[in-house]
Amino acid sequence: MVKRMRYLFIVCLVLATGIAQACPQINMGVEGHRKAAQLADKVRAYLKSNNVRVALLGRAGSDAPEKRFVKKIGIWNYTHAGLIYRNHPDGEWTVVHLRNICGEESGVFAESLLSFYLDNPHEYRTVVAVPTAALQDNIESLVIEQDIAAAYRDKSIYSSISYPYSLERQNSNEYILDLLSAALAQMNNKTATNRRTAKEYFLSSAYRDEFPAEILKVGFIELLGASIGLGPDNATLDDHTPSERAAGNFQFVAVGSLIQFIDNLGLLEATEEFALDDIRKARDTIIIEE
Amino acid sequence: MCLIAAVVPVVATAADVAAEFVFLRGDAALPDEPNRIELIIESMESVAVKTHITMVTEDAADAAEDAGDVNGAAEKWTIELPADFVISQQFSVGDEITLLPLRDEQEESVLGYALIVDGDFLFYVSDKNLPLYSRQVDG
Repeated sequence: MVKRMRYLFIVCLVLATGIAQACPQINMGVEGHRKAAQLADKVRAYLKSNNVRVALLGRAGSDAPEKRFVKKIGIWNYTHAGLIYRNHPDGEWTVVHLRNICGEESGVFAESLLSFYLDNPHEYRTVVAVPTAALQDNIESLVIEQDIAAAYRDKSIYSSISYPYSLERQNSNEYILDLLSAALAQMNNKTATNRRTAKEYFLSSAYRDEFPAEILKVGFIELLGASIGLGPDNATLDDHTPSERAAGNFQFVAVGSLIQFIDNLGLLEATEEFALDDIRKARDTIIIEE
Repeated sequence: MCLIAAVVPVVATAADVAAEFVFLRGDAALPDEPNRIELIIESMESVAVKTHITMVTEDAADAAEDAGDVNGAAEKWTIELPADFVISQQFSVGDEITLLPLRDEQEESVLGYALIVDGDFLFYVSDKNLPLYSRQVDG
């Protein structure tokens, strides 16, 4: 019975967040590489032709059924965000993002654009959100000139549905929110050179009111499973408020939250979505369970 | 232009003995762009910790052959193998290596190559515009 509940809970939570269990080793095959290269090529061409220096990228990492999202922010049904830099020292068009390594462990990675799409995406589609030049300048300053991208993880503990308004946990999209908060602080002549100060700035400023957290609906059985410690290793509800737990509605940072947040601030220059003609998952990926 | 020829010179370390394995044939069915490049390892004398494969275009190979110097062929490009790549563990004499071009959706340009050894995908060969790298910055 306990085994069945654990399984059910994990399946429900993974489906709900669109974020898969963390530990399997993923070996992409020829089709996966071809599709990733095709999608990356479209993004690269767009960024280049529009003279972009920094942009937010969203990918469809896994299946995130929209019915589980209460707010359905915008049209952006993507699960994972990163920021891409033209002038990054690791190479032109380097994506810097927080990845769940395994369980509660995460890391900040600088990866090529192609690598960003080699994570066995559920669908080969992506969104590019281009901030205004001023916001691009400030993000670039933090990550390239000051080289402090790692400071916005700051040994955080990973949870795929982390609560956006505390430092207890952090998911990949909240990492971007923290970095954006630091860039906004810098735009206002404030300093936020680590996650704690960025979060403090976000919480104490009017920006908090402009941020639209996505809300995840978690059912009774899932809540029950979580309450007795049967959840997946990379997701917990512990950092959420008692009122959220009572209601079964949990706020978290989705890709749509980030795009809408930038737009609400009047700092969004453009968005563009790209998809392959055949968006389906690559069929030759080998997943080795560890 | 059809790519048909390749040599694999080893970037030798002190412990390495020079090794060379040689291409054999290309696919002439699609002459404008290389459809697939097939190589067969003919000999392997040593273990190389770092190496690269130099591909030589048909025209360049012809020109070089006329000049008596394949390695001096003017048109060639290099595949950089992964840094931890150990040739002796991945390749054996007699292996058939295929470089399969990965094209954009319109089939207009080659974005990179899949290196396949005896039917098994081994790694992606980067185009300079779509390189493959990943580094943990807080590791």
